[in-house]
Amino acid sequence: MNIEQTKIGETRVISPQGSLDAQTEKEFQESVIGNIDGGEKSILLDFSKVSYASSAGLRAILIIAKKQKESGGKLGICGLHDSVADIFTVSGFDTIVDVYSDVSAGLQGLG
Amino acid sequence: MLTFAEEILLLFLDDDTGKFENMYYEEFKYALAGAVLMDLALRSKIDTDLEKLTIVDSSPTGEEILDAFLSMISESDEDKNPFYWVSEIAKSGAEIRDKALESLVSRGILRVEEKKILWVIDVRRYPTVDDTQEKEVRRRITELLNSDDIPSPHDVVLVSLADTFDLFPHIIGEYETKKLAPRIDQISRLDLIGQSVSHVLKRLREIKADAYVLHPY
Repeated sequence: MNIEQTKIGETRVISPQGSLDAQTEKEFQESVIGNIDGGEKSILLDFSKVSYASSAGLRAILIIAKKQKESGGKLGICGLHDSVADIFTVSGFDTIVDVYSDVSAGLQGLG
Repeated sequence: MLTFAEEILLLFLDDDTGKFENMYYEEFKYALAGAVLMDLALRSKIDTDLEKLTIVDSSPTGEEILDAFLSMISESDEDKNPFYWVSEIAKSGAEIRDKALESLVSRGILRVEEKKILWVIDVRRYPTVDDTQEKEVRRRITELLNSDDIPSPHDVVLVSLADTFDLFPHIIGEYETKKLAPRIDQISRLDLIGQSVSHVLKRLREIKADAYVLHPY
């Protein structure tokens, strides 16, 4: 899985690409957890290039959200495609992670 | 580490009598089927979305009961949805229950007590020997429900199963269950397999209700 990262102001923006499923969730999770362990207190997951998320992908987001909350940091997610937004809504993930329309809205929300 | 089937059995079991609380086997077997699928998912053997359940890794887990169903799913010609597998695995509910009880006895958590009712009918009960694990599960779940903490995937599964099978009044009492209903619902929804088990059970209850309307006696 290709994962791009950039720092905008105080926020680390992490942009995975492709499908977030059992094949890719570990790599994604390790990449984000690495940032949390490294002290990043504001993280925005840009999912504009994620076309699919399975239950394994959701579990990775759950673990990341738990870790970031325990470290006292903030986490947001933005740019959800319709299919990913559907699975987010059905599973109620939008109640545990702040969802934003795009990176700009995410940066404003987390800032 | 206990399997989910073992953990859910402990939550269903009355410690003193060794009998199962409110156990209606027709429904309970779906709890066990869901527990098996959730175990396979958390061990990264299967993956699911809203429409299908796929095999990720068919190598054995080392847990006899899980591996039997992992093989069954691996040998399927095409991807089926999670509802299908919950219903299919539930057909072996008695086998899952017996294996899980056997395992809990061999771990020294339960003991077997054979009794006769009216001198004729054999009854087997499972009084608790060591309630450490069960108390720990209850403590963790109670703490989680009374906080706004983000749950671990493991606790999501337990809350989802306990909610689907109306176990919370038994675990935290009727009053707390009502008070914490929104929080229980929030956590239960986080697991897609748990949602499938809940759908199958809802359908089963609808069929039974329809049958009662047609044939009340």
